[in-house]
Amino acid sequence: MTADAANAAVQPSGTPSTDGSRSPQDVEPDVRFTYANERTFLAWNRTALALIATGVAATQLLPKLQLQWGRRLLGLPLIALGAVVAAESLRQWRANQRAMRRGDPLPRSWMPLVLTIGIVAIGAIAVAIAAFGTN
Amino acid sequence: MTTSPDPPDAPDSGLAAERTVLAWNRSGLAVVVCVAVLLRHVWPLQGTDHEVALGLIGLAVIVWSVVFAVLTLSRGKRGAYASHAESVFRLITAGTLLLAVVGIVASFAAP
Repeated sequence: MTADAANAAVQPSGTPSTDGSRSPQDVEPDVRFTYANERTFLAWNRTALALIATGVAATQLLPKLQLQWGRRLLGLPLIALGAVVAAESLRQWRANQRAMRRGDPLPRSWMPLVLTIGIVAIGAIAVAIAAFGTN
Repeated sequence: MTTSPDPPDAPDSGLAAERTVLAWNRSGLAVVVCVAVLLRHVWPLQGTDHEVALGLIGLAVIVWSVVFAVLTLSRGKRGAYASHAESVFRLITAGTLLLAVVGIVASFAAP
């Protein structure tokens, strides 16, 4: 979805704002774009839950590694990354909704980059544990 | 879970509403799985604990469904969605962060 498409489809009889993040000029965007923004939030939240569940599984289910704190070294960054993704998904949903109401371009999301870097870093930790943490 | 009625003067949302309901269902299942994984490993279930754990998971499902229903019903009312959505998404994020905190605490309690 592009911001232009969202702007073009703004409902003409929009609702004036009453909460702090909205101005009287704001109008509700096309319901389809609101749905799409909501689904994006939910998808990021599921990603966060998957990261947290994987982190918990890594700390609780993996057999004890030779390296002290090995399981925690693997699981805690996953849980932390999940928490960051969860918090950021709310901020991103809010920013997208605000931009659509105001007819502004959609803000750029850093979440795919953060997620990629985080997962690559955790993968590197796993490889390092496998290489140096065992006999 | 119920399907969402569009506001009377809204443009046809096509299948977007249906996709959104499915996304809510997937997210609900993800929450249940995450809670179950945490409960299973934080709490060594014994005796009637299984029933209590099942009850807690059921309660989480009910809370999730009620939250979703509130948001769905607010779509039909002008101005209600914006305020309800903000609260609902904040609640979901807070719940996810709470699960993360419990996961971190549990990792230090692991044998």
